Amino acid sequence: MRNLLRLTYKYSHIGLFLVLEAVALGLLIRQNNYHNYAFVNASSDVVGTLYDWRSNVTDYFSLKEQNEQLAGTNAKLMSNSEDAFLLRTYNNLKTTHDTFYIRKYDYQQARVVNNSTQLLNNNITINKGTRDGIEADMGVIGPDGIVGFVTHVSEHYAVVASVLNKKKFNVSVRTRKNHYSGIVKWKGYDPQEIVLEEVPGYAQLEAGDTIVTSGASGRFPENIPVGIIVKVEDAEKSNALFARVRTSTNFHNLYFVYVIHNLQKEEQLNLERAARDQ
Amino acid sequence: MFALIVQNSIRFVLLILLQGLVLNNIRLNGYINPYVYVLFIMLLPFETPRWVVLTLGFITGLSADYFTGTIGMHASATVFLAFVRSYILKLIAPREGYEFGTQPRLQEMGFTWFLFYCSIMVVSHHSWLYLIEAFRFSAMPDALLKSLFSSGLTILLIFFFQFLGFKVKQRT
Repeated sequence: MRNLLRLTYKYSHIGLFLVLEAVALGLLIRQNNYHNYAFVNASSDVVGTLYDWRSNVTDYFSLKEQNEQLAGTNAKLMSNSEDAFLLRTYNNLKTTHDTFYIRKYDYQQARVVNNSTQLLNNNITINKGTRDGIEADMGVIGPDGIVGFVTHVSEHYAVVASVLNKKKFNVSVRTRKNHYSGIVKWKGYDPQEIVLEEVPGYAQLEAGDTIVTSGASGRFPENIPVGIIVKVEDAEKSNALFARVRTSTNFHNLYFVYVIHNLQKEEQLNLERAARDQ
Repeated sequence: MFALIVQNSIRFVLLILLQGLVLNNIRLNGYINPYVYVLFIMLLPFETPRWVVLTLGFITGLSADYFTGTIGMHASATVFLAFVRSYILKLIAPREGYEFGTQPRLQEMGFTWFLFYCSIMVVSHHSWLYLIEAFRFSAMPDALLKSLFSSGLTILLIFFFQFLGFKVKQRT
């Protein structure tokens, strides 16, 4: 009996190892569940607050770059605003109450408080949450193009699955020149390179073509830049093309992003659901 | 005893914060990243009971996970590291065994011993970590390459921190 006890004691650490390892792997597997909010941590307010403190310090080191990015965005906006255009002929007409356009997208600015590119599934934490009207599934863009979409929201923070999230992210795109449609995915490892897939075989892609969002999902407006084709490759087995694409957003220095509210998303989704259920 | 606990607690907090807030942003070449927080498990005193090392390993990993948003991944790697630690220590023990009260540190155990210890520990932790990540996304050869490069960087940084501690001790 005593020997048995001594033996159990001697090997008890192996048992403990197996138990702890099982718990860890169990947590890891549970986390794969997309809707498991309980363990989604980076958006939790504790770590979010820590990240906030850090970026309060580190933001000073990149003020110049941030300013250039923001000034660039401003210049782009100004050159697109109403004031930049002149009405060519109808000098005697006046706009009074313009009901010709209705607003479809609303943009909200947010600051990046945490960002990763070294994992296989990279997330970005931003400092806006439910309190600011952020909801899951909203698209996020940066000054140079597409960034990702919101996956989890807490009161003051939100987690964005970036383009560099192998598991969660894909977006339907098209080439700006010829409107060939396709899907963009990240394959891991090089944070500057994504892959354009599911392009029809007859499409004529060229290095240098710009890839933009197609707006099909309703997450992003049309024509948001995604990247530029670096190299076109033939997939031997199927008659589909794929191409290596350089991302237009540099995920290494991302300071401010814009969250997109699609005001007609509900309508689009309801209609599509009704059509599917028929 | 009490002093040891305080010392290790402070080390724990400092290393986790350093890892979570600073080192997770290194991303050399996009994906080479050092995980220096394993130093906490490495520097626990020789006499620490195995179950304490295992439990601390789990807590350390979970804390690191909290920052990267991968609950369970670092925890599984550090539990593995805590498990193999006693075997590694036995494997590379000096002939007369470990002196009571010494700690597995560079200044106490010497350069060669610590280099061995540090390399084996870091490589086993990083391989496990990157393999677990790859098992979920199937890219094994790349994972091994990644773990090798990251291990190199981690070992360099650990030596840097150890020398830093050395200098401070000598001056006082």
